[in-house]
Amino acid sequence: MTQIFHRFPDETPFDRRRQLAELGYVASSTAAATALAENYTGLPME
Amino acid sequence: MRTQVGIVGAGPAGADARAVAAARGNRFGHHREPQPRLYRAPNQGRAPRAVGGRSPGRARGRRPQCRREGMFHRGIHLNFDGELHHIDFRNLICKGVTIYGQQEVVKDLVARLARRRRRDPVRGRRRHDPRLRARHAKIRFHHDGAARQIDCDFIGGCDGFSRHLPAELPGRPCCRRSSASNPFGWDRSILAESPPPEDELIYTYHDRGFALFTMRSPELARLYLQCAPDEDIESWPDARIWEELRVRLNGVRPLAEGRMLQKGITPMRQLRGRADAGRPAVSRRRFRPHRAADRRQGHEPRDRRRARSVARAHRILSIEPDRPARRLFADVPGARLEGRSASPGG
Repeated sequence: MTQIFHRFPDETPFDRRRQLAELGYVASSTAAATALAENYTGLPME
Repeated sequence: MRTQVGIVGAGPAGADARAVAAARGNRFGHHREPQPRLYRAPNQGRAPRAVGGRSPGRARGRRPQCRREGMFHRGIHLNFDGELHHIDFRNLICKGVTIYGQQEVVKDLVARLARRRRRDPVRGRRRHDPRLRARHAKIRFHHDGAARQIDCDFIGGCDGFSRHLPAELPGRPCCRRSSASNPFGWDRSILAESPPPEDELIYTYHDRGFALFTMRSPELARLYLQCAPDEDIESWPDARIWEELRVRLNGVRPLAEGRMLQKGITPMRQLRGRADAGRPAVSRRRFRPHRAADRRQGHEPRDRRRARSVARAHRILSIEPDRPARRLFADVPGARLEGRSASPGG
């Protein structure tokens, strides 16, 4: 999440666009949203 | 003091590791009862994180208090391109998020462990092999003004970013630190007496920086704004903070203002690489006491020999004496877990 949402001191316009593209992907793709959901809620311990 | 598993850190990760250590020791019937000791190095001035949902959300026993007081969320909102996008975790993976105080998570875990111990059938079955003692890991620390030491087979590094432990420890392959801080890295955190703008969290992407709208309760909003590392909180009066929050929220929801109870600047830290931050860094294999036979080098595969030489280098873990004792106290009977006042000095 940090990588997608935060601004970085050494970022380029390309990096900002890439962040937006990633957000758009998460919001539009079930596969990407599922990956986010799994990571956010915690991957299994074992 | 002699124990099998020494755990440094008594946040949710430390308490969780303690419960796991106890549970596994029992299940596998080791001849040494795991007696994890718990230490707490409180976050420097940081309030308990409101998003404590990951641990209690996991099916690690029923916690009535968590069910009663926790706030259950189906997912989160992403705020970009001028609108909110809801990611419904519940629909996607049948899991949700619980907002529940970090301190409460720890208290519940400790209470659960205490319950387990009372009905623990193998309690008291301890045998120590004196030959192994000298080679055990040690945790040295100060408590109540006195130097103490714990000898253990394993050290669980659950101190998060307090950095008491070396960056890499033997037996914690799950947690190698490649980077411990972000250069941009500070978020202004605000606790305000106002209803959060949405029932669930809003993560906001904005040209002026990241903003997060979360909550402690339906009446208490917890708000974060990305800011420059050298920024001074004093230069931001409340009105300016509200204005900045409103700008970053970008009109997707109305923002109710209220009294600000707490303002601070929080370093944003994360582990890059594998997403293991906040998890107990105890070896995930079962806790197995070393056996003398394993130690004979000629019979060991090379990678294990190498692991042991690394282990020797880290065998003694010393908590710096200049850390005041109040920052690090033992979970011994009578010591309080959640306070910072357990030991007044030393």
